[in-house]
Order: sequence, then structure tokens, then C-alpha cells
Amino acid sequence: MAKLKIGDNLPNFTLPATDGNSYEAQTLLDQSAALIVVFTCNHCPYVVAWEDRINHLARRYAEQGVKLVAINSNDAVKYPADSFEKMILRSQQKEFSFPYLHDASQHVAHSYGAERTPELFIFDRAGTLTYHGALDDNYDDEKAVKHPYAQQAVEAILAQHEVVFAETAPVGCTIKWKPTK
Amino acid sequence: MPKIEFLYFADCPSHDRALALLRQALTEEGLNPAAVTIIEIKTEAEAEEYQFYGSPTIRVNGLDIAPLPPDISEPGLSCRGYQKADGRISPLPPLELMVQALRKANAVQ
Repeated sequence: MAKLKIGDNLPNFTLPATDGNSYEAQTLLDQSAALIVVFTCNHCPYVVAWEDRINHLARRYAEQGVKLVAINSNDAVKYPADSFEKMILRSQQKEFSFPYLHDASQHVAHSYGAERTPELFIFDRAGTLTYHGALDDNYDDEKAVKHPYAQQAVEAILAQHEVVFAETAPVGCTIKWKPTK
Repeated sequence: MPKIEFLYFADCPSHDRALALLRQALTEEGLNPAAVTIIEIKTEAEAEEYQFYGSPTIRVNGLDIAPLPPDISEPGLSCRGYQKADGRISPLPPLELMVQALRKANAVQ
């Protein structure tokens, strides 16, 4: 698995979303000051613990042209809670402010080298990977967060500054891969 | 001394913090913090054998300290969420749940 490295270019994809549309990464980037790609899912408690903060991040920077897309690549056969139908329900219940995409083939997760949910990849306007890792440093308690890594990365991109913490360890469940044939 | 079991799946990162909290709970209740049987679940077969529904799982005298989340229906190598007092879900079991389970076990002995 070839994990993206800081400085790599945005791998393109086109995936269906829970809102009935399809989204292409390059088109989103062309409309963005920064693009946040989050590998996520429904069932993982780390995602559940963080998803309001992810939603907040998307809302907070939308007016400044930052776009966020979430991608669920989990095997829905083994984890039915991560099916596309359940994704639709989840996006409605949580009023996601971002497209929630389904990577049924898992090709996109493989192309990014994503391993966990949640795991963030943040690209600058040029499509260069500028941050990779966790949303922040405390899944359990938002009030105890010392380093809001993703927010700091977005702020740095918008200000055209260097990202201080460009890479952190993603913390969460492993992506649930389909059985190899 | 109640029988304390701590079961975990290494891919779920909260197990270290959860075990530290469990030892804290044991200390606060005047029990030996080292008296924990730690079981690492590595395979689906072991998950089935131990009726392991997610990491971390803590049992006091064989009883789980919390009800299973409604979306978990069968044993497996999953991470597990716990509801906190304020309703939020966390991968970290709350200290209060551990303390309650220990007190309940002590009360019936």
C-alpha cells in the first residue's frame, strides 16, 4: 500500500454521495481554497466521537472556500452499519454539511493509502498534500484538545504559511477491507 | 476481590488509556490495581470464544460493565463505544462505569 506523502498531488476520484450526486475530487479542488478528504464510516466509535467536530470544521471554513468530503470505504458486508443506505440515514440525522461519499470498491482508500477512520488528508489550492493525520489530539474530550491539527493546517493554508504539524498519527478504527480473493 | 478481566483488540487505540483508568478505579476502591487479567483478542475465532463484542471490554465477575451498543450484534474484532454521562459516545469507557461495577461486585460478596 503506497501511503500518500506530504507534498504529493491529490489523487483524483469520482464517487457517489448520499445526496444523490457524484463528486470528482479535481472539480472540488478547482472550486476550493483547500480540500479536506476524510476517510470515515458510520460504526466506528472514534468517528462518532469526532464527527460533530468534523461537521463543525466544514461549516467553519466553508465561507473561506474550504471544502470537505467524507469517504466511507468500509466493507458493508461484514459491517452492515456502514452500508450506503445507513450512510444516507447518518448524513440526514447528523445534518452533514459536506458530501458523504461511498467508496464501495475501496479503490480510493487504497490509492490514498488510508488505514483508519477517521483519517484526514488536507490539500492546498494547488492540490498538494499539506496535512495528513488526526483531526486533533483528543478523541475523548473536545475541551481537552491542545492541538487542533486540522484547524491549524487549514488556517496555515489560508494564510499561505507552513503547516507546523504536517503529519500526525491517525487515531481510530482500521478500515474494514473486503476479504482478499 | 472480584475477578476483573480486561479484553482488548490491539488495533483499537483506546486500550492503554482504558486499562490505566481501570487501574485507577481499582485503586480508588481500595483494590489491587495489578489484579487484572488482561486478554488480547487477536482473531475472529478468539472473539467468538471469549464472546468479545468490541475493544475494550471490561468484565467484573464475568459481567460486562456496560450494555452492548445497539449496533453490535455479533462477536468480532471491532472497536467499542461507551456512552458518557452527558450522552456523548467515546471509545474510552468512563471511570464512573468501572467504579459502579466494582462497587456492585463488592456489595454482593
